[in-house]
Amino acid sequence: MATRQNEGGGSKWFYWLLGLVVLVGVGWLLTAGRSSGEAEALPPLGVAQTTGIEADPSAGVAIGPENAAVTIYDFSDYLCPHCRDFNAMVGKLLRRNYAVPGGPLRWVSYDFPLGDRSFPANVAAHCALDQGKYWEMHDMMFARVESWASEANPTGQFVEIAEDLGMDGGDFRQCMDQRESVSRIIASKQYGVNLGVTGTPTIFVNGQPVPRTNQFYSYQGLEAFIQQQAEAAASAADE
Amino acid sequence: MKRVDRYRGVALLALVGLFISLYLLLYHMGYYGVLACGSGSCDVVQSSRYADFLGLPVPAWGVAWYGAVLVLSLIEQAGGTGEGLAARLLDFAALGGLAFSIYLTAIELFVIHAVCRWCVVIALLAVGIFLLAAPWKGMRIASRTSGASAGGPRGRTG
Repeated sequence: MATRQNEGGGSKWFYWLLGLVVLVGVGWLLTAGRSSGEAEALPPLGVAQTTGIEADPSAGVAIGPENAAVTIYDFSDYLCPHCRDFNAMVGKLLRRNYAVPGGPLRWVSYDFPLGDRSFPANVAAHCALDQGKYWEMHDMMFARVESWASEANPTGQFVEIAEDLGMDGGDFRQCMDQRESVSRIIASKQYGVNLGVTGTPTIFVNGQPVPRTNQFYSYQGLEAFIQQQAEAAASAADE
Repeated sequence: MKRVDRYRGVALLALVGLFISLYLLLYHMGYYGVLACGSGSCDVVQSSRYADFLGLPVPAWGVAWYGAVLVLSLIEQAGGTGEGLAARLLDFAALGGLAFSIYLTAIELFVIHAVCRWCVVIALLAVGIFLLAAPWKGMRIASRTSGASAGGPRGRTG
């Protein structure tokens, strides 16, 4: 009898504790979502300007007219799977469709290597820039990341990609060995750090940081904005 | 420790694991914002190729496993004998969960070279569930029961 009473008490205690864990768990899931979204919102442009937003914009590589209605800064890492997806599904298509002579988009790619393993890819991209094939190399390194990501020294894979893209393999390898672009890559990353970039991909649209919860990380979202800005610029020019 | 208390302990640990797995699954699905690669180890682990297992995100397996363990342990603590189907399934789940946690921890340490704190908590919960569920006890009972069955009426009454 006493044992049964003890078990009944234990059971009540257990269900109370279970209920408490459920309450805490549900509350945590709800507030975690909110706090995470806030944490990802980068500082507004005004704050960033005071911390050197215009410090070194030339560290990036740009495509599209200088006076385009929309300018996008893209901070990416070549080993980041989400950057690869963002480039394949958003960046590459937008550049092809809108960052053209007379088009409404200027896209500026900034190096933001998250670790030492990404660095050779950034160097390779700048070696391709020397031969006028930066964007082709940029897209191809993302597309073929599986072939070089696990290599301790992926130079051979990069030379292969460069030759596939019609570059001079010898010059490319020499450029990779000289690594003259390293200071520019560091300057580019430092620019991102000054802007408050903490992860990749991170984009800025017309100087404004875009939180990752924003629709601008989708092709449709960015395209709608670009078209709207282009129309606004065209009607302003008409007046 | 009494059998019913062990199963209650398993249920509580499984509930905590279920919430953490849900959190990681929602994160993986982009509910807490578009997935990003950062300098934190959790980002590295969650965005690695090992974040999926058999076509599903690892946190989804976590939700299914902790959910199953929770249900089975609630059944057992509410009046199971420790010898029924739920107890046996719980034994296998505890063993499988421990093995999967060891596999994932090894991947983090030796392949990705990044350790996610949530993954560590999840792995510790799986170890705790294994110790509390004590599948070796269940297997001893199972082998005793089958031995008794083979021994006929003497075994059953003995």
